[in-house]
Amino acid sequence: MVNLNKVLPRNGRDYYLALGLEGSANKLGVGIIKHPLLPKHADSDLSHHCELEILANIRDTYVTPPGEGFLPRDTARHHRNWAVRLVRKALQEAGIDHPSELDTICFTKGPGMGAPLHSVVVMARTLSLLWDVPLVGVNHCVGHIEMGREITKAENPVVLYVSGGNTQVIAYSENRYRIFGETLDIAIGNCLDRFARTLKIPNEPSPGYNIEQLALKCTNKDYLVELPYTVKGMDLSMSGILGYVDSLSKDLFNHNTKNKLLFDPKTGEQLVTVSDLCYSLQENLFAMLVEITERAMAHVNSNQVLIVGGVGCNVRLQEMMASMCRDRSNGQVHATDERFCIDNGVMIAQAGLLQYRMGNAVQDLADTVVTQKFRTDEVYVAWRE
Amino acid sequence: MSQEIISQVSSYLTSNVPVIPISQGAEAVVFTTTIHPYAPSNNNTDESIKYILKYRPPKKYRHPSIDKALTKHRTLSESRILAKLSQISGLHVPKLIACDVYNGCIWIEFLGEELPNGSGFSSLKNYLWMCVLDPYSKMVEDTLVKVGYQIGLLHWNDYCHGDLTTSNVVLQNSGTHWEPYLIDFGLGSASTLVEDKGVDLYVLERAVNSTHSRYAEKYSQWLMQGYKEVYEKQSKKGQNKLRDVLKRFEEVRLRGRKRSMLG
Amino acid sequence: MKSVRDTQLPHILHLEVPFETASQAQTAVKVLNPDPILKPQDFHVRYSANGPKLCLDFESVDDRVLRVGVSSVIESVKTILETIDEFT
Repeated sequence: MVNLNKVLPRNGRDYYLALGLEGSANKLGVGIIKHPLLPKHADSDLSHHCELEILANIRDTYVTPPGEGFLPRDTARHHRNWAVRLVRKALQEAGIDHPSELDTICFTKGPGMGAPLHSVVVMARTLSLLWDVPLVGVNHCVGHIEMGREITKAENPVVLYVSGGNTQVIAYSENRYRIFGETLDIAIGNCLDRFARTLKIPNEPSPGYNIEQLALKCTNKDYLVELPYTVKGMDLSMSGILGYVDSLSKDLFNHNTKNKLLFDPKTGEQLVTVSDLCYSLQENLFAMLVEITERAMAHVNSNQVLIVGGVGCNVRLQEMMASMCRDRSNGQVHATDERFCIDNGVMIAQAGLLQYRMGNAVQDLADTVVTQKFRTDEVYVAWRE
Repeated sequence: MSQEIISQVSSYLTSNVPVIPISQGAEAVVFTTTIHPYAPSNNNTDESIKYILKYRPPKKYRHPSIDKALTKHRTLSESRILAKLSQISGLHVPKLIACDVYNGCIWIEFLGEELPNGSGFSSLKNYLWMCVLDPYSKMVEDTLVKVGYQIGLLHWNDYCHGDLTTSNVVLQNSGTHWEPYLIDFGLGSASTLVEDKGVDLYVLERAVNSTHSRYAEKYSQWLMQGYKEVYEKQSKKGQNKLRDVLKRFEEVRLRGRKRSMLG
Repeated sequence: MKSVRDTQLPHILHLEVPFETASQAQTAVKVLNPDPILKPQDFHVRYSANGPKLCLDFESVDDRVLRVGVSSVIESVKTILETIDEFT
C-alpha cells in the first residue's frame, strides 16, 4: 500500500495545487492542476486515480519554416520570450490570485535539449524563491506516463512512448518504469520530422501531423512501397529506413527515371506520389511499433497498452494498436488526444505532484540542474506499489 | 486468447487434427497436438506424445503485403535455421518436423513441462520467478551458465537469435539438472557480424534487467560465464573472436545509454 | 567552481546589475549558482550580491569564449529580472 498523503496540502486546505513547466523540446507548456485530498489515497495503490482537475493547460510551440528543424539556441530564446507570459495567463485561467498558495512548482529536469530545459528552470527557480514554493524536478517520460494513466485510468499498462526524441516500450515493475524495448538509433518522431524536412512540407501544426494527412491522400492503398523492416527483438532501428525513403523522395523530386520503383522503365511515367511514400512509411514504421509493443505485452503477460508522446496522437497508429489488441484476450488500448499527448505542462505537474505528495521535493537548489540524458528507469517510482 | 484465431487454425488443419492452445506469443499462437503431420497416425496411440504446432496468424493491424512477407519470411527462416542448428553438436533446439510457409505453420518437437507448485510452464522466465526464494542457489547458477553456453555455441557457429529473452529459453528436466533449449528463431539469422552478436547480447541483458531486475547483475554474470566458456575452449582464434564480440557488446550498450535524446 | 582558485584566466570582466532590493539580488545569486560551467578550464564565473547589486565576475581563456559565456549568463539574468518584475 502507498500513502499518497504523506505531505499534506498547504494552509490546511483539502486539496493540492501544482504548477507544471515543460520546455524540453520545441513546445513550451504551462499547466496548473488540482488534486483533492482524499482518505482513500492514504492507503491504496491509486496513483492513476488522483481525481485530477486541470485548471489551466497552455502551450506555445516554436514553429520553424518548412525544411528546417528547431535548433537549441533558438528554441531556448522562444521559451524565454514566452515563459513568464504563459505563467501569468495560466494563473489567471486557474483563478489563482496568490501563487504562494501553490503546493509545488514542477519543472522538467530532462531528458531533452539542454538550452531550452535550462531557460525554463531559471524561471522555475526564481518563482520558487519569490513565492516560497518548493520545486520538484520531473523526468519528462515519466510525466507522459503518469498523465496517460490518470487520463485513461489504465492501471498497469505496457506503455509505448513515441515522440520526437524517444521511442520506448516500457512496463512497470518494482518501483521503476523499465525499458523493454527501444530504438537502437533515431526516434520515430525524429524519423518523421526529418522525412518531412526532406519533403519540405510545413512544420505547422507539426510535421508528423502533415505526414499523417498526406498519407490519407494516398489513392492506391493496396500497393505499398517496400521499405526495410528492422525489428530486433523488442528493439527497432529506423535510421536505415529514413535513409532509404529519403533517397527515394530525392529521386522522385529530381525525376530520376532510372529508379524503377518510382518510374515506369519504358514510358517514364511516375508510379509513386509523395502521398504514397508517406503512407508506406507510416504503415511500415507503425507495424514495427505495434509488433514490439505486442512482444513486450506477451513477455510481461499484460493486455493493456497505453500510447503516450507526440506521435501517439496519430490516428492510424492508434487504429493499428487497437486492431492488435482485439486479437489478444481482453486487449485494451488507451490513448489520449493532442491536449495531453503532445508535450504539456499538466503532465509535468501530474508526475511532479505525485512525487511531491510522497515527500520528494527539492531541498537544495543544487539538485535542480537539468540534464539532457535522463533515462526513464532512473526514476524511483515511490507512488506505486 | 482470441477464439477467432483458434477457429482459423482449426479450419485450416481440418478437424482431424485436434489442437489445444497453450500460449499466445506476440507473433505466433502455440498449440499442442497428438497428431504427427506425416507419420502414420496409428503409431501414436500413446496420448502422452505431443507435438508443438506454431501458427503465425495473419496480423490484421499491418498492411497485407507487409504481413504476407513477414509471415513467409519468418516461418521459412525459422524452419531453415532450426534444421541447420539441429546439426550442431551440443546445441539444443527443438527438432523441426514439418513446415507450411504460406500458411505460417510449423510443427516441432514438444519441449518443457509444467513447473511444480503452479509456477507455470518451464520457460527460463517462469523458472527464475519460481526460484526467487533462493535466487542465488547452485541450481540457478548451473542452469544460467548452461543457458549462456547454449547462446555462446549459437554465436560461435555464426548464428544469431534476434530475440533473446528469458521467455525464449525452455528448460527440460533431465532428472539431475535442467537442460536449456533455445526456442523461437523467427527473428534468427546466420550472421558473421559482431554487430548482430553484440545486439543479441544487449537485448538479452536488457530483458534480464527488466524481467528479473533484482537479481539481474548476478544472472547476467552467470550467463556470460557460460557464454565465454564456449569461446575460451577454442584456441587463440576463439579468444580473439570473444574479445571482438564483448567489445562490440559494450559499444552497443553505451549506444543505448548515451544515445542523445535530441530531435 | 565556487571554491577559491589559485590561477586566474587572462580575460576578466566585472559586471554589476542593479536590482530593486538586496533580497532580489540574493535571489538572482541563488538562481544562477547551481548550474555547472561546461568547460571550467576555459571559463569561470562567480556570482555575488552587494546590497541591491548583482555582481558577476567572469574569467576566460580568450575573448570569444568570454563573449559567448557572458551573453548566456545575461540571458538568464534577463529571465530572472522579467520573472521578478512580473510577479512582485
